[in-house]
Formats: sequence, C-alpha cells, structure tokens
Amino acid sequence: MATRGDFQGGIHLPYNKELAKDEPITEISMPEEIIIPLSQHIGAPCEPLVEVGDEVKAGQKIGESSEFVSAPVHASLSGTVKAIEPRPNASGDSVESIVIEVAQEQESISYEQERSIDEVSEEEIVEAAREAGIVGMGGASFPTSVKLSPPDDKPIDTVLINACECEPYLTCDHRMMLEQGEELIAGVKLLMKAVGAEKCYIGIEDNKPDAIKNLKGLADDSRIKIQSVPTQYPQGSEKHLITTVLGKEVPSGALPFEVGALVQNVATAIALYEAVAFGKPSLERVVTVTGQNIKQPANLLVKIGTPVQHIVDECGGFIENKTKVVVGGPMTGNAQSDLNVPITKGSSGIIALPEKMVKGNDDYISCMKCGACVENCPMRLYPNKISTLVEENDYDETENYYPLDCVECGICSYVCPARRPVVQQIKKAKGEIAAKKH
Amino acid sequence: MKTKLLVEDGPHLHQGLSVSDAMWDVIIALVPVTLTSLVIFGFESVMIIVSCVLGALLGEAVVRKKKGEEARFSDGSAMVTGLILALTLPPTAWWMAIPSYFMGGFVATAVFRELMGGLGNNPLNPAVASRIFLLMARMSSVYVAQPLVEINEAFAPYLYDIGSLDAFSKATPLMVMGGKVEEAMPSTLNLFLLNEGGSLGETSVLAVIIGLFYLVYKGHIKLHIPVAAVSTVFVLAALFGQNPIHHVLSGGLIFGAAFMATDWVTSPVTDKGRIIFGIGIGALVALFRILFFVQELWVGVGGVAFAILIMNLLVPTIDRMTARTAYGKNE
Repeated sequence: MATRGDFQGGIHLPYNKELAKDEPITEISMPEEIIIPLSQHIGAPCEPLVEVGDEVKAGQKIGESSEFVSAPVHASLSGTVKAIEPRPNASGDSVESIVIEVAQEQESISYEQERSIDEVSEEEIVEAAREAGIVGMGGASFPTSVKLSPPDDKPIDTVLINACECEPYLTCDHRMMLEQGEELIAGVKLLMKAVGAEKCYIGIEDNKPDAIKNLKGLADDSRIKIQSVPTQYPQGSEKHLITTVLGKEVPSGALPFEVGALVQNVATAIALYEAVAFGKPSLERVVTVTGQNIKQPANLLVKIGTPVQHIVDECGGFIENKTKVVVGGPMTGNAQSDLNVPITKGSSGIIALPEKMVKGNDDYISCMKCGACVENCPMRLYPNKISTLVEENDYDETENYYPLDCVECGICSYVCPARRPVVQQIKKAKGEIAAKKH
Repeated sequence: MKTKLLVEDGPHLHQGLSVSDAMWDVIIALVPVTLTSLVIFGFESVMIIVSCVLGALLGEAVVRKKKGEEARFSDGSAMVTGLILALTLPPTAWWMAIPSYFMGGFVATAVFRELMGGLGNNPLNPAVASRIFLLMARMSSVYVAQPLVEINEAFAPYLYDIGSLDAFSKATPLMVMGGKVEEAMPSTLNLFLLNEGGSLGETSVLAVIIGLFYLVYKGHIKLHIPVAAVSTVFVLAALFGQNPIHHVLSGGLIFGAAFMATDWVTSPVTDKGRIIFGIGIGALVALFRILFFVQELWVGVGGVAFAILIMNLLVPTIDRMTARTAYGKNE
C-alpha cells in the first residue's frame, strides 16, 4: 500500500532546467497568421461559429460544442478568417482548424476587475471556466469545467495544485509561481470554492525552493499548504501527486474525485482566476522555449494558435540546422516534422535538441529481461511483458498486464538498454484494445 | 540555412546505456580475474580462453547466418559467453583438450543461445549450460565412449574424449574440504587473494569481487542475487557444522554468483524474485556440496553450474510467484 510521501518506481532525470529557469516571462511579436484547432482538449470537438472572410476580434468565441465534455475556442488576436480546414497539430494529427490572418492594428484589450472573486458563486465559477474555454494546461487538456462538476455522491475535500513540473527542461510553471503567485493563490481559492474543498496542497518539487518560498509568503489562507514533494519523475502525474501528498492510490480506471481530490495545474489555476475576475478567455499561455539547440532560451507569453516557427524565430532560431523539435516535455512530447503547427492550450514547451541527442533507436533488439522497466514503472506494471506481446501481436494477452493503466510517462523506454520503444508499444496495445471494444 | 527536422518517437531522452555497453562492461569486469588466471596458469589459461571465445564467436555467427541474420560480434555478447565459460574450466596443458574447449564455446552460443530463441530469449545461461554439457561429455567419455576411442582413435577425441578436462592438476580446495585428497586446506587469505587450485575463475575471490562491484557501480546489476546465494551457502554450511568461510571462498560459488547468476536474461526481473533465485542457488550448492559430496554421489565439480541451471528453469515460476499488484489495483 502506498505511503504518504512517496510512490513506488519513478526515476531521476537530467533536468536541464537551468537553460531557461531564470528567464522572466516576456511577450513576443504578433505572428502573421494564427491557427486555432477546433479541438484542443479531451472531448467533443467544437463547431466553428465563424465563416471564411469574417472579421474576428481578439477574445471572440469562434468555436463551440453543445456537448458536456468540451471547451470552446477563441480568437487570440483580431483579424480575418482565412480558412477553415484541417491543419497538422503538434500531436501529429490533422485537426479542423480556423486560420486567421492577423490584423496589423490590434485593439488593446484591457481587462478590468469585473467582479470580486469573493462574491462569485460555485456555479458562476464553473460557468466562467466553461465560457473561457479553460482546459488543463499541464498537457492533458481535460476541460476544467467538467473537472469542477464531479458527481454529487463524490464530494471533493482536497484541491491539489500540480506545481511539480517534473518534465525536464520545462520552466513555465516555475516562472509563473515566481511572477504570478498572487493570481495563483486567487485561482486556488476559486477552485476550492467551486468544489467545496476544505483544504488545498500546492505540490512543488523540492528542486524549486524559490517557488516554494515565494508561495509560502503569499498564501494568506490557513487552508492552503505549500507542500514540498521529492523531485522524482513522474511526480507531476496526477495519480502520483495524489499518492505522494495524500497517501492514497486512485483506483484503477477511476478519476481523482474517487479519493476526494481535484488536481489542477498552475497555469490552469491562474487562467481560472483571470476568467472569473476579468472574463478573460483562454487565449494565451506561457511556453518554455529551450533545449541545447535554441539560441536564446526563454519563457514566452504566447497567443494560442501561434505557429512554432514564429516562436523559434523570436528566440534567434537554432544553433545547428539539424535539430529535433519537441512540443511538450521531452518525456511525453512529440517531435515535429513541420514547424507550422500551432501552440495550443496544452503546449507547455518547445524544446530544440541537437542531432547528437537523437536516440536513433529504430534498430532495437530483443528484451533482455533486465527488469529496469519493471523496477521503475510508477504504475507497477510489467512493461516488458506488454512490449513483447505487442511484438507478437497478441493483444488479448496484453490485457493481463493492464496496458490501460499506463500513464505513458515514458520511463520504460528511457531506461531500456535494448532501446525498445516500450511506451509506443503500450500505446499501440491501448489502441488495439479500445478498437476491439467498439 | 535550411532547418532539417529530425523526427522520432518519444521519450526524447534516454539514459544512454545499451546492451552492448553492458556486455563490454562485463568483459572489463572480468579483466581482474582473467589476469590472476594468467598469472597463475600462464599459457594454459590463454589457450583455454582463446579456444572458448573463438568457439563462441563462431557458434553465434554460424547459426545467425543460417537464420538469415547478421553476425553480431560487436555487441560483445558472444565474447562474454566464451570468456565466462573459459573461466569455469580447469587449467590443462594437454593440447588435445583444445577442440573440446572450442566446442564448448561453440555449443554455448550456437545451441544454448541462438537455437534456444536468440539473445534475450534463451531460457538457460549459455555459459552455464555449456559448462554442464562439457561435464556430461567428460562423463560419457569415461563411461560410454571409451570403446569408441579404441575403435577410432583419430576421430573420436574430437567428439567424445575431452581429455584432462575436470582432471585438476592440483587438488582443489573443495576436494580437500570433502576429504578427497590428503592435503592441507589453503589458508583463508590464500583463498581470498590468490589460489592455484581450481578453475580459472576461482583463482582470486578478490578479483571476482572487484569485477562484481564494477558492474554494480555501473548500474548493470544489483547485489541481491550474489548476496542471497553466498549467504545461503554460508548459513547452511554453518548449520551442517562445516567451515562456512571455506565454503564461501572455495569452488566457483563467488564467481558463479557474481557473473553467471546475475545474467539479465536468465534471472528474475524483480528484487524479490532475485533474492529467491539467489537463495535457491545457494541452497542447491550447499545440497550438492554437503550431502552429495559426502555420499560419493558427485565429484564435487559443477555444483554451482547445476544449481544455476536448475534455478534458470525456475525463473518464469519465480517471476509469476513474485508478481506485484499494479498501482490502483489494491482495492
């Protein structure tokens, strides 16, 4: 059974956070066009609310769905709708997107304090989250309004703020905790109010002592605790943070509300505060641009829909022209074959890695049964077994080893001396099992 | 300057270690004990090592070619197998034994690795299995093949008679301990530092331990198996009223526990499993040495190899027995 303070498995990684951690959050120039995918979240895609040729204003809702599990999308800059067509996104899929030619003249939107956060009701908070299109900004992109509406028989007593930022290289949450601490604490109070939680832990990995200190100074509510947690990947996995802080395991197949917890990421809590207080939709986010192959690492406030290429140019481009460009974290993100993909609500980083860091592991060998993946799997699975069975196309048998419980942290592939693409094989097993059940 | 995007699946970081790095590190770890065997046995040692390694390399290449796969010398695995096999063998000056050493290396990789599933899928440790193969061949040469030797003296030696294999030129500590020879037991310090009775890999316990700690330091193996195996022998020897230090320091126990029982492919995948596996090896070694030796059932050679081989076969069972509960499956 799990004990408070740790989870089994997990590893220490070369973090490389010093590349960008001291770079304050700055804004960048406007791109010429922005690409707003109609699906940037888990759930139903949006229907466009505009047509080609329409003028749109920054902050205007341009896509929406009537489904419960969904989140609307907004124009992040003013301009003209140039196309509504499938465009590649950073996950490697082609997604129906609204392409906007950005107008040269942008009206400055001024967000004034519209309402005091002390006076809003639970319903108003959930409604604001929905209207603003807020989704989990740590990468999973689950609609926040849905998370804030747990079943009535599952009361939530604890809000956990996932401030681990356990992925190497990324520093955006770290910077926000240093620069937007007040907004974060305000967002935390809104989250607690929305679900009726009595306490909140802000879980921060102990490699960010300055963030811990800053938030301890700002937390003016005795119900909010700043909880230092061990630096151990994947501490920022929702389930593992719950285990570390609360000493409970989320049952297989269940969501955190099953153990009375709501987990939200730093950026999401800040976005919720801005949505409730100013009616500001989710139209920008902080992105860490880093890696050994980027000229000027930075933490940038970027409009949703900005092409990766534009951001790379703003950072001085690449050092070597042969490069791997990962959107997201280096463990769970995707390498890009086209830099014209947009930053979406869940894109936390752009990481440029030099050629010498390319693994080149297409030539993998048989499993050596060394047990490294077994020892380090934070879900206590047998990745070795799933990997071998997928190779044999025996998907039925893989189910005995619970591939559906895999959180896809990538540790199995990271440690494998045979360089087997273990996590990719587990993802494949998940896909095959899902296909069979339909 | 045009950007060239390099694309591959995540995760985009790797700890850097590969199987071939591990194999080469095993070879480095075997250097100290190989050197002590060279110091003590000189040319005999060279001859045995070269024959076994060449046999192992050829065995791998031949079967892989038959299977339509490329030879894989560079990953070091065949060399590791050949070298480990060599280090389990006793020294000999008889040139007629060379074919049998070569054959031992060949059989190890050809039969016990490549034909039994290939690297990663072989159920038995190839060096251990081949060591036992040579032992059996030796026994058959004594009891079965003698008439054949007489029939065809020119041909038979290559097939059956493996000469002085296992006929130790000097009494081994185990023989002394078992009362098979009238000689004084070497001092504990001798057993630990440098000792000329026994196989190539038994010449220095210290050299073996240096190699073991190198592999542990490099993160390739953990101490669970060797510690469990050796302490089990220690405890059982003491329980049966024998000198536990002598038992631990003599024979191939430390060498086998450090380099043969820790083989990734043929040992369990969890620490719990590894401890059970190690205890099993230790218990079997003690059984062979204490019970069988006294009752003249066994010549006292190959006990460690047999113990490891038997436990190799039990690895799938141990892995099943020690299966852990996945996260969130407790309730």
